[in-house]
Amino acid sequence: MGATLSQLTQWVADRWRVAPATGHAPLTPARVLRWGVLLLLLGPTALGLAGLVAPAFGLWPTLGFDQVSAVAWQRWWALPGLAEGFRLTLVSGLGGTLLAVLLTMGWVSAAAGTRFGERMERLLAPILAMPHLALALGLLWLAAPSGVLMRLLMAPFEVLVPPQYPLPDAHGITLAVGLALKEAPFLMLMAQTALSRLPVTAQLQAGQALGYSIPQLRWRILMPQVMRAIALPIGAVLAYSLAVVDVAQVLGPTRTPTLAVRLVELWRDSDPTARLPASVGALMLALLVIGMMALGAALGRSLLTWHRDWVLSHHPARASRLALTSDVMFGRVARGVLGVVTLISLLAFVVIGVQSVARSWFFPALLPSRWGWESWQQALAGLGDAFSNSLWLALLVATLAVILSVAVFERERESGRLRGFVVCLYLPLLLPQASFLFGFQVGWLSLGASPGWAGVVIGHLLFALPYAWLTLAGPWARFDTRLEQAARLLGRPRLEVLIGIRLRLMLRPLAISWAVAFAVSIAQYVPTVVLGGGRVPTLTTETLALATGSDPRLTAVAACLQACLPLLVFLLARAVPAGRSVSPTRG
Amino acid sequence: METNHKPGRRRALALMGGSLLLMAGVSANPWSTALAYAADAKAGRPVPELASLKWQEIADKARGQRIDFHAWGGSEATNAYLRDQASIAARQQGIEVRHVKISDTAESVSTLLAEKAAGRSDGSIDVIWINGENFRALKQAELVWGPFVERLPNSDYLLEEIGARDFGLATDGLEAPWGRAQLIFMYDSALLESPPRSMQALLKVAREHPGRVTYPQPPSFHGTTFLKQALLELMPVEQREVLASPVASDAQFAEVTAPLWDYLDALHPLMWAQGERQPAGAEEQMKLLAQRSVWIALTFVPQEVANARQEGRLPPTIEPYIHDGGTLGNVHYLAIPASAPHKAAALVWINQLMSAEAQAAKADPSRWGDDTVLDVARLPPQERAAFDALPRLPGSMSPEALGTPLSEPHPSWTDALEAEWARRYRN
Repeated sequence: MGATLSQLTQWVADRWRVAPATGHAPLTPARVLRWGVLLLLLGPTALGLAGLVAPAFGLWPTLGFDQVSAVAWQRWWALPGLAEGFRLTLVSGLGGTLLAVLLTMGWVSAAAGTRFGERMERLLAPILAMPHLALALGLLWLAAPSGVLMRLLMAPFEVLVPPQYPLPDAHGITLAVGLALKEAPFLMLMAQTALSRLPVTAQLQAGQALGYSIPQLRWRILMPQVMRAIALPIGAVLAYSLAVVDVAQVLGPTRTPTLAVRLVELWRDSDPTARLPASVGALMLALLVIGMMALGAALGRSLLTWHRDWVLSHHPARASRLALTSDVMFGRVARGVLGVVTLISLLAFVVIGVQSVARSWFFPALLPSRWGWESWQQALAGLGDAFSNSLWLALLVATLAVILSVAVFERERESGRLRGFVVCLYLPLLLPQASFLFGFQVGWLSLGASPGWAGVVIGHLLFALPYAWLTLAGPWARFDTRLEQAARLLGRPRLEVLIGIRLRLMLRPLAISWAVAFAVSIAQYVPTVVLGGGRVPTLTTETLALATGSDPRLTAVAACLQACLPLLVFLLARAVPAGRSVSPTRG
Repeated sequence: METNHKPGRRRALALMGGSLLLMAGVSANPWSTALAYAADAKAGRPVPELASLKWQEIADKARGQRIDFHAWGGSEATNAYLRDQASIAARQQGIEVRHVKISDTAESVSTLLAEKAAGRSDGSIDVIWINGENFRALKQAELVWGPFVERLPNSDYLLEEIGARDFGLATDGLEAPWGRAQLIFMYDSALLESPPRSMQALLKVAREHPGRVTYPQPPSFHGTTFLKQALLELMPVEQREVLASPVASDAQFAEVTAPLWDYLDALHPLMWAQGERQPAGAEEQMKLLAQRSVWIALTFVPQEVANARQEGRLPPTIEPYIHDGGTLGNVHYLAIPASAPHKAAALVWINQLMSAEAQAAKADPSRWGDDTVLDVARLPPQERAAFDALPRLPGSMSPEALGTPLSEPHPSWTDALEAEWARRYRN
């Protein structure tokens, strides 16, 4: 081991020394940063993978498994209800992603940029900011048989007990809908940033000049461009939906859970050898995610081709000739659906708020029978540390994530595209969190580090960075580089051009990317628990601990607090002036 | 700027390779040290420097230490109680207690295993709230430190015979009794005229009101307890002693448990959500009870109903009851991991939680409502007074109503029941 390490160090040192001499790699700050990012992402990812692969092949010496064997695979395949678990994972993960994509398509074709769209966008901000777990709880309190919607319906009938219908259902449909409601706003945000970099006005004007209606043009011209631009975010949503744990525990079936939930169950089994099949399961889930992403990419490409062929072969009617084309109808339906979806999400938000100030609120009462701030007082007595931890952690992680993303882009621009690098950035999103982080934990501890802040920051960064990078990727690629070229030609140094021109003009995308990273950090559960050893309590860890208890009121308070921070940040990010309004005339 | 993207790619690949090497090195390393560490733990028990100290010296050593106490954080009653006790500990003993609120004790067992796998002797957990299967996992992996219970001054007043066996497994003084629990059922008196005081009566309620009865899904703690309770009730009383010893054979298990599966086969289609979905734990079932989606729930805290009714978590129509043949009871404990870095303070903290003052506060139904592990009759009069002054709230269970708890079957029965349940009912 020692020899390997010193050889490795020597090797790295040699590379560094040789490189500048041959003129291949001058040590620019961007380059140093980029290598830093690569190490930061690759190291933990590799550690996590090792902790996953070894037990999957029967290697776990501390537990007495010191030879490669198939025992883990045998135990995994012998688990009851496995096929059903696969089916549920696919239904909820694929279904959720598909629904979210459809909603986003509807939004792009019918709402983005219109006054309706803007109003909706403002209303959706709380949903974007709300952590997954909180939204899931809110939806359940809204739609369950004893939920608020049913009480509204039942109010005139003096019913004493709630009706019975399966929600959450046994087929993963509730879970798919819940995931879609949470992920669609994220995709819409991505679509929004993509749109803001397209010459939308010019395209629409050209189309209108030819006599076509706006809805036709949105569906035929804007939609495919936007969908192509948000392919990566859709991939992230797919990976997340297939591997989600906390939401699946609330909205998914329990008799036979999804694969991800099954993994966590095995991982938490009091029999430590249950981790061997869990490792196999984690690998299977990772393969499933990768396979589904490949499939999704192929499907998306052929759908876009199909769309193009269809558009080319079906010439639309001129707007003047037909007052109500099917395109217009489509727009109305899409708006209606989007309106309902927004309303439901907002109601979930309201229900959480009411629940947090209710002392007693039992079926069939429409409103709480006793109100009071006691839950908030109790929470503030116990959650002070968690609140400040969450805040500082998210501030730090979001800032680092944005700086590192910029560094990555700068380097990427310099040397052309590096596919491998993007994959590295993406790996943490592809692997099931729980199992991957356990491997990381073992490696991290054996490097001599203690559980605590440092590990948690790295753990959060692993997941916040890809999202920050994703959010920034579209705007970054579409930036008008002629501005920078002009500045370079005027003799300005590169760093000054980066900061003075590009970053300044991209202030708004930067702010939004920062806000997304902030929200991601706030919502992290597994990395915080595993790498913090419980020493860094955050609002999320406290919410989940409270959610396992029997008091919905405290859970509601924790969920409110958890949602407040990212919400505030999102509102601030929106207040940042859009870059285009700053006119680049000086220089 | 238009440069060399080939060398860049090569270097990236090289770096990836390097990381793989590093990963192989790092991941091979902990396992060798972990084995060495396990050997140390065996040789070094009990830790000598503490073994030779008097209690006062331990208390002095503890002063100024900060401990991480891993305990389920799902109940505000529990959390508030621990906050109070932590401030007392800071004031009187000079130790700082950090309550690490976990959602499942198995998480902490995971952490200890990871730390062991990484070859760490300085762990991140000083005290852990534990019992049953999690204790067994730690004991088998030799991750608990002790024996220490007899060294605690407050252990003098413990109930006779308490805490010798935890779910049939000898505790060997490796964990200190902290509270007594018994399986309690609760029902909504506005919806049911009288509570079903046996498993058969419960089935009858399910027939009359389909969809209003359920139990938490095994292997959650309360779900497995429900299985064991049903098994005990459904088998002839004279046969029950076979449960005290390990499962002898598959045939014996099949024969003994046959009535249980017949019962569940009849119950499941009549359950809430047709048995397709069961509450993840007793807490979820209690939330369903509060909303009248189900009409019966269960808990392990004898004064839970009183506490929840007072706090407004349950409607005032909910009443507690137990089955006529008695219900299972057990004890929960506090243990110190072998890798705990602050063992002195851990001992002082556990001793404090075992004091009459702390136990009386814990038994207060308006705060937590957990039965004490102390023999109140043997306590000095001024300490007994705190117990005598405990309030009686509406919805509380009297000791007479609780009766003598049934004892837990041998852990091998628990394992076998959970496995067979999963085989039969997890599709």
